Amino acid sequence: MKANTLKFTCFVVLFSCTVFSCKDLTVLNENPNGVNPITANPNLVLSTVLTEAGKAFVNLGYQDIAGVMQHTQKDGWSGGHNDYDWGGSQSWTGYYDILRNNQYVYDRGVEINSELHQGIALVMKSMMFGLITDLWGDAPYTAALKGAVGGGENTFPAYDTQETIYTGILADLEKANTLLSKTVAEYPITTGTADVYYQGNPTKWRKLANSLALRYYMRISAKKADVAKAGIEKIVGNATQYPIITAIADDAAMPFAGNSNEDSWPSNAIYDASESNYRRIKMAATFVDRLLALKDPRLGVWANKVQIQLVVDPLLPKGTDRIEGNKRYLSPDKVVGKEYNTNEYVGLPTAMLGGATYNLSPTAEQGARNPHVSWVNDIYRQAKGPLLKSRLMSAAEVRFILAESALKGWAVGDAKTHYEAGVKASMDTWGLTSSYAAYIAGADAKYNGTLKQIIEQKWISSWTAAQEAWFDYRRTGFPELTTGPTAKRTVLPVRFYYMLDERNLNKTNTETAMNKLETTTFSAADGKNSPWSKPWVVQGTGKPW
Amino acid sequence: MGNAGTWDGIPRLSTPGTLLISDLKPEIVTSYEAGVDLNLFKNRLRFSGTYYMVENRNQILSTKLPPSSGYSLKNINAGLLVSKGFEFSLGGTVIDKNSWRWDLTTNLTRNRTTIKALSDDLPYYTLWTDAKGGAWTYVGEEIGDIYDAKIVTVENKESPYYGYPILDATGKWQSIDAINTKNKIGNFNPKFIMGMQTSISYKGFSLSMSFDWRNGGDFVSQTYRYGEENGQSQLFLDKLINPNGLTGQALRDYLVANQDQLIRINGNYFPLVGGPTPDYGGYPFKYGPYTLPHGGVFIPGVIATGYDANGNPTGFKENLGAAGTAILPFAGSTAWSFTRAFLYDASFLKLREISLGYDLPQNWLKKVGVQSANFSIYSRNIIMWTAAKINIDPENAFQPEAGVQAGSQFKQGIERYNVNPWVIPVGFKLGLTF
Repeated sequence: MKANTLKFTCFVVLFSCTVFSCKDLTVLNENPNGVNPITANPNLVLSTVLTEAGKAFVNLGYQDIAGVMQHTQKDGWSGGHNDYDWGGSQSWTGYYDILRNNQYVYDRGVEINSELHQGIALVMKSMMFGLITDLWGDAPYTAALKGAVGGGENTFPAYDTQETIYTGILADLEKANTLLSKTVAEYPITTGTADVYYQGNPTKWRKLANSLALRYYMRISAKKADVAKAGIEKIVGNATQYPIITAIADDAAMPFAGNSNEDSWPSNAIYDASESNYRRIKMAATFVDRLLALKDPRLGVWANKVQIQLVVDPLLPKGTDRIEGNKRYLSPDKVVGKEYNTNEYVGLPTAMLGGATYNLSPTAEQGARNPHVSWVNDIYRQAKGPLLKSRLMSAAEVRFILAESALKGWAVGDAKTHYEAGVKASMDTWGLTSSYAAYIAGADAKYNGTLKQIIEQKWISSWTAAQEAWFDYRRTGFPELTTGPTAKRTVLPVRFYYMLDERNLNKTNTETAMNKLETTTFSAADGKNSPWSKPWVVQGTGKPW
Repeated sequence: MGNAGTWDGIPRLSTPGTLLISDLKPEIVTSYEAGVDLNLFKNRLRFSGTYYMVENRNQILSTKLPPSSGYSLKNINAGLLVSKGFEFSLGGTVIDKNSWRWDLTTNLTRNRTTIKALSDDLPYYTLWTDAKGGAWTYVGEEIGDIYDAKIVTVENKESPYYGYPILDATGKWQSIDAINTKNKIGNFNPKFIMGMQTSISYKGFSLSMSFDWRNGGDFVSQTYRYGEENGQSQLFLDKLINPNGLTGQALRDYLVANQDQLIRINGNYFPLVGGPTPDYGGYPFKYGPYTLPHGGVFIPGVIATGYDANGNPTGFKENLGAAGTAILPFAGSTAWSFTRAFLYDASFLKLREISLGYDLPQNWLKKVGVQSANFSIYSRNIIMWTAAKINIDPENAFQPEAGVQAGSQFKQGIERYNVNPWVIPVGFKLGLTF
């Protein structure tokens, strides 16, 4: 009898366990060690979106695109930087990863009814998709980021045309302008410190939204002049409804934390003990020579002087080659038939063979310590610093866009005023306020009413954010850059290669997009998917070549 | 959600970029096997044979997605993988009389795995990508296929330059990447593996040996790829074409007369004329401000003089040693960007083990209370013959993988610095039974 009772009790206990565990199975599916995505604070992911986007932009603007735009050249491992040797495939995975996280921020923003988060997410979405279409052309946009839904059309997203993407971006920015129009107190939650650009200031985000709209209207100005004109005039004509960035305090710029290589200035010499990544970046001759001609004080902020200057003196006895102090004295017979440069600032010529040997370098080693060429300024050795920022949008860029608009005869004010304000904003940014007056009075910097000059100054002010200068070059052909002997083609490229994984796994859609690219005589063996094939935004414009 | 690390003390989380399966299906393995076992002539001839087929359904694999879907990897129930193969073994006692006995056993195996279907219409499954190429398998094809970028050559059979590499303006090879061309260069699985064990005994003495023969299959040697790029490969130096004093038109005519060997790319051989020193016939070339007296090479081929709007060349200029030939620095003119240049035949024959033994006579063992005693001397790895002849053991053609896909720990069919000094152990063995 006793045994039976025990059996019965056991049965009841077991049975009830079974029932209860069935009932609450979903509880078991929750990861007790992680943050639940259904209830998480969107700020936890917003920080990832903003910091990763900041890193992505500076990695273009200070690295390979700075090479394309001849701000810098490398003298070691230089194929991608100097020669546009991009291996036939360029990944956009990182950008779509940012967009996936950003979509989460937007969706959570809708759920918790935070228009601030929705607005910020729309601005970031516009900026990232803007970058993707600027770099590649057509790209998955409306069908993108839906892999989790499943099914063929979501797993293999169709590509939207570049035109559709720009149109979508401009519509999103308009929406963001409304969402971001309240004061901080009117939103249910703030971003806290997660907003590393603007510390949750909705007005600044709103200015960024409208400034980006200016950027993308100008981008399509050669293709859809009426739309661009109307859009830009609409924004400039109503400063209350459409505030824009006009003060450098409103620049979208991300400082670096400098606590590890992951959150530091790229190619710093703090976490790369060999300094090789810092050292292989040299100033480009194109940039240095132009800045010297302009007597531009920004050169001293961005570049180091050569460590040892060359002095070639016919009075020296034959066979002289000696270093004294920071000068190397040479008699003319020692430099016969050799290219040399005796300036204080010396840039590396574009895509030259054997860049490491340039200007009588003592060694031909890759990324060597050539003392006769200007390295980038010592500040860029650091992991962080007041000037070391990822610069996403600036007052200077806005001013130059307006100067160009005014030059086109659009109702946005005076071209000269905007041009000078643009130059001044850049000078202020780099701590050179006091040098502005003398600079703008200089022969070459003084406003001369040409697009060439406006774009040249925009190119200079885009230092460490060279991607924007590349897109301007593609649209206007300015500055008039030529390339060098080791470059893969005799002209500059105009886009990136679609990546292998897309061409492979999303084959039909990618091929459709590739077929819309206009091959040129420079596409050569690359075929359609060439960096020298023209995307929609430059097709039929005759630019840049 | 994943932790993306902090930024100046600000927490950062990331939504996962890998899709998991919501409706996981169990893996189903169905295998069929048919076999025969025969022992004939009083067990003097022994045969066994097996043929099998294994169907593996819904295997859980992690596969790549187009990144624009927002996700880079997805776990899938993989569809259908079919393995087929056979194992044969034939053995016998060849001689058994007058105290002589000779036993011989051979076995032969072969396996092939085909991907019959993948879920979600995925076109192929990637095992690894490295050395500019990789091993991936399209649906309907066999596991182990290796692909590489295709080198751009003259494809018009009418052209006198048919098969010549079309070089870029600087005189370097050009490629169309691996996927666009489906340029299969090999497969890392063997055609078959054969083993043989033999033993001969006479009275108390016995000699036994074990051989392994792998036939077919390929492997990629990154040891040579890196060695060549770093200027440490004698094999590379030996392959350079020495112009032997020929210049201009004479050199051009010599190359053209031997175009199959000296111009067209043949297997893993990428012709290169000149070399690092005057002994190799190195050319003078300009490097930065310096004109160096030797150390230059050129790649024999043609350079397109122009392209039409479809990217087809409109004319060619010879790059065969006459005036105007593009001279490149020897360093950096390797075939680094092509997997094919480092693909070698993985066939080998090994004498894995040999031993010579002697059974001590029973009659005096009994006196000391031992039932039997055997003394032998043995050795392993005495002989390895490889088809590639590059001093790399094809059995070491595996490379640890950093970002592991599908849980595999090693990439098969590729090696990098997986070279160890050859060890031949020699041992003595005394076996006693009480």
